[in-house]
Amino acid sequence: MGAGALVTAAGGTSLLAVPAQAATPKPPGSPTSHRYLATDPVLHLIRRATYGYTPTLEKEVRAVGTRTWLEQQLAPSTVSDTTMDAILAKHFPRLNWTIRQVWDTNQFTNYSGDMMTDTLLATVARSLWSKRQLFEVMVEFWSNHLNVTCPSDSVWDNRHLYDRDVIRKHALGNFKDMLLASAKHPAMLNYLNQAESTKDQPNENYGREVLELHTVGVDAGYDENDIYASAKILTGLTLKNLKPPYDDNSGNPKNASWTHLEYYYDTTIHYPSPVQVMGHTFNTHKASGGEADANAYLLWLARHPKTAQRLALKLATHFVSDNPPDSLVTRMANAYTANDTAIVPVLRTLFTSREFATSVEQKVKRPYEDIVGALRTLGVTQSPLPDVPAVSDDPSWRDGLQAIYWQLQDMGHAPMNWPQPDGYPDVAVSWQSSSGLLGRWSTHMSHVAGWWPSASDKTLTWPKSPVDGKKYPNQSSLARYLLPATLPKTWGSYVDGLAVRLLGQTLRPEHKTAVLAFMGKSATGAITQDLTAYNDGWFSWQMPKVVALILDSPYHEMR
Amino acid sequence: MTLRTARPGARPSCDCAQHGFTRRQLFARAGVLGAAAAAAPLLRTHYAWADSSYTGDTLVVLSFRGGMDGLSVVVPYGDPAYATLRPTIGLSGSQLLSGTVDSMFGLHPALAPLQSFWTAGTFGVVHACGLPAPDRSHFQATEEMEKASFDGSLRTGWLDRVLGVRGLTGSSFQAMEVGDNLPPDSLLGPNPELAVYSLDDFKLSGADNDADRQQWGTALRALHSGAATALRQPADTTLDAIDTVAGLGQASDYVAENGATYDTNSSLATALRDVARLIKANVGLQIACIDYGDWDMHVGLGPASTAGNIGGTDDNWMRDHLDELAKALAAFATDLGTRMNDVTLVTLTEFGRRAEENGDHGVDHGYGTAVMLLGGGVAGGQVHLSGPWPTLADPALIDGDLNATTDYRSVLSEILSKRCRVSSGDLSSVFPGAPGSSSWVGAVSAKA
Repeated sequence: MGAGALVTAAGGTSLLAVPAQAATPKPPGSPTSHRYLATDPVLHLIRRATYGYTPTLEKEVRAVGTRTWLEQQLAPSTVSDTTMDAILAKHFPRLNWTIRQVWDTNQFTNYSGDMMTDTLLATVARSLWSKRQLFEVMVEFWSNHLNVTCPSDSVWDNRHLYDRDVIRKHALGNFKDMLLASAKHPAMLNYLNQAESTKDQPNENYGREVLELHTVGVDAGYDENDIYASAKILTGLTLKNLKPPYDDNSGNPKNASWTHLEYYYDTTIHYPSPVQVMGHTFNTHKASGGEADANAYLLWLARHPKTAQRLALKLATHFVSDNPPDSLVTRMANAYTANDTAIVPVLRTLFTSREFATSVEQKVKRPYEDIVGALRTLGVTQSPLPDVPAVSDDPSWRDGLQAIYWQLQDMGHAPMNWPQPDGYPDVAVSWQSSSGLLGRWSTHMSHVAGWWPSASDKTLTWPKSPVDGKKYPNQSSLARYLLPATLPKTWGSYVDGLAVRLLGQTLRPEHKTAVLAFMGKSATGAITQDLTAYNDGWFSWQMPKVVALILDSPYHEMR
Repeated sequence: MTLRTARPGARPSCDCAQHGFTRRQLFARAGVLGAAAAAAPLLRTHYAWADSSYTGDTLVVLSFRGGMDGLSVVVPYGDPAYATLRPTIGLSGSQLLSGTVDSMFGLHPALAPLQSFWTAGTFGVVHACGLPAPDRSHFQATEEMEKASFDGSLRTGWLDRVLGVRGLTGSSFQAMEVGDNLPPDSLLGPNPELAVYSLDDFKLSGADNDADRQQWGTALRALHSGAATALRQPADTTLDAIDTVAGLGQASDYVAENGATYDTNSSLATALRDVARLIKANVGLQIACIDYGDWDMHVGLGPASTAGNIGGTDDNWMRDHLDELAKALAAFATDLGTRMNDVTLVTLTEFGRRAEENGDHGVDHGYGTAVMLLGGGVAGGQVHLSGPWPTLADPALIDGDLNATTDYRSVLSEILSKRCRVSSGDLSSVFPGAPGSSSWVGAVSAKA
């Protein structure tokens, strides 16, 4: 699709209440859905293409316009991200370690989880604070699509490199490159047992999932024989057991059994005869050309029309609707094919479509998006800590991120934790449970009130009041931080001010009334207290409740 | 649905060699992948609502993670190979729980608190039970057992599929994990469940009293009242559930009936107490899952000489673990009294242990094991088998392990069919490829 302004949302209708495939009787008396979220295209784009609203982000998008901002986000290297770069350099230097470096260091016991913890906490940090927001959203998307569960035993020394060299490297590149990189990465080779697969005993785990999950999909029309053939073609992709001289300081081998595994193509275990998958013949090379066979097969899968359709459907499901319109999915699939699996043209087609513009209120945040989004709009940042010689010597620098990670884990949505190769589900119906909802609500309160992670935690910075510099969310500084500099004169404008600050929009009248009733106030009631003293409860100790309540509402639940 | 995540800490740790298997081998065993069994991608949504007038049993599933040694719990002392294989940890007939001993089997003496239920016929056992094929990896075997998809085609858990065929009632309490806020893989799938550490913890942060709770509830309901079903319905049921749990009061104020006593130091007992409170409150509880792990007894299972010294201070892992289990189960069944006529409790473990003891008074990973059943509909007071006892004679062992002559799905299918109102047609959706009703051992009676 050519250049031009994003299509506006005018005329869109909310479809969330009426899934296209809604099966069977809904509960009686189901009310007609009406709009919570503003249809402003800036807010709509922010809600979908990022981990959530902040006032600063809104200013940035408005300054350049949605189309320019989108193009910047689709070219993330052009987006300056100095704060994030500094956090990564200072607190996550190990993420650039090779597998050999991981093994060479003395600070790990065998099968330490530290490298995986770095990967997970850095992911949370990037979602919260990176300026390359759409890139981070796409990293999460592909991490689920080509899921390698983290933490898990077999990837302790290489999962951070899978994230860097497979997912991040190609997240806005070409899918064919990402697929090949994943097939040859130690993390995937271990996770789906491809490393163990030989011509004599093919392990079909990866051979199956590369069809079912990574490319054409379970309904593509293949059968058991195709899966078995798929596994045969891929035999030879394995890991090599390298045995470098690991010396400790005394010059003696550190541990003779210590080895590290790198990708290796082993021609001796490759199945050397032609086989057919979905009616196409592969594996025509001799054993010595087996890697070329594997490459050709994976490229064929990446370019397959079913793969195009399936990736388009998954992307549209993530960004547009749990039931995206076929018209859009088809155009996205065409863009994928026309650009030889390039991802950016597919996203451009999506974000400039009328279907996207009119899809307001059709997506519900999953727990990760909900919690990260709440912390973003509250303005929590990473503290600038003093230099530490090696992060592992003083792990307390990450206490705040660790606490957030544990909260996400309790909600069943810590990054990369999904225990199966198919990745976290991406539709609202998979996430509606009372325990999940209660977890979100209680975590909002905990964050706003600064209970956990504690507002006194040195590793996170809770915003300071622009008025008196006091640290949020202690008492009166919360009000000074979240309310306009010109303090409201009525309780109605108090609620309006909070909503605009947190959501970028006001609440509908009946919802504003509900919040005011919660506070025991009326919209026109004058605020008569001495504002400079902030001595009313709703300007101090009671205020976290009303902030949390707004975050508990559908205004924050939807994206 | 809260989704279970990979938690290394929750996986049983084990240094022993993992007897892995490949999916290809499983696949070959299971035969052709049926197109109908293929999992649809989780990309489309659906809602299903069912009549809430469920009249079947509440199914309580105790997960014994780590691999319970069935041969120490339901002891085949009459098998001539038993004493030979277990020279230091094997129990003699005279050590076994009186009133439970026949010519072949008897229960471990630490199960004494359950003796009266055995005698009354509400506590029973299915022995030599297990997965369709051996898998001696904790993680893989647990996942297989809980998903029960042996052709690899389903990504949901068997209990989620029970909810699927039954239909959702709208009660937050229809399916629960109690004692852990992450549900097991058996509940993995599109149907929601409620997972709580404890009922006392199920409350909204910041709402510390009834007035606060009403203030929050009123506001949250009002804010969701115009929202789409996907938002409004979970909010309403969650707020209803918070109110319901608040109405139950604090666990510490709960008075068990019939003289039952829950050991508040036992997480199993307190979880069962929460389940009993929910059953009595008639909140629509159909499925309750509880984890009771720590069965990976490679060392220190305990010498036979001290097995009967309940309360003794010597190291005796199995005795102490069974003591806690039996006391908790007895408290639960005593507290519920006649309500146990509408409850079936079943224990599941991923595998049994090696027939021969190792050098550390322990047993390594094995295959066939025992399933315990408690409830008014249980055909108790006996050890159920499929055909004859497979015996511990060397040729009968599977790589050194007791064979599993009963597929665990047969036991669960029989319970679901006879006690939990699951039709035979729906059973094939819950357990595709499982043996049919001719394989059932008669572990439970049909509910009226």
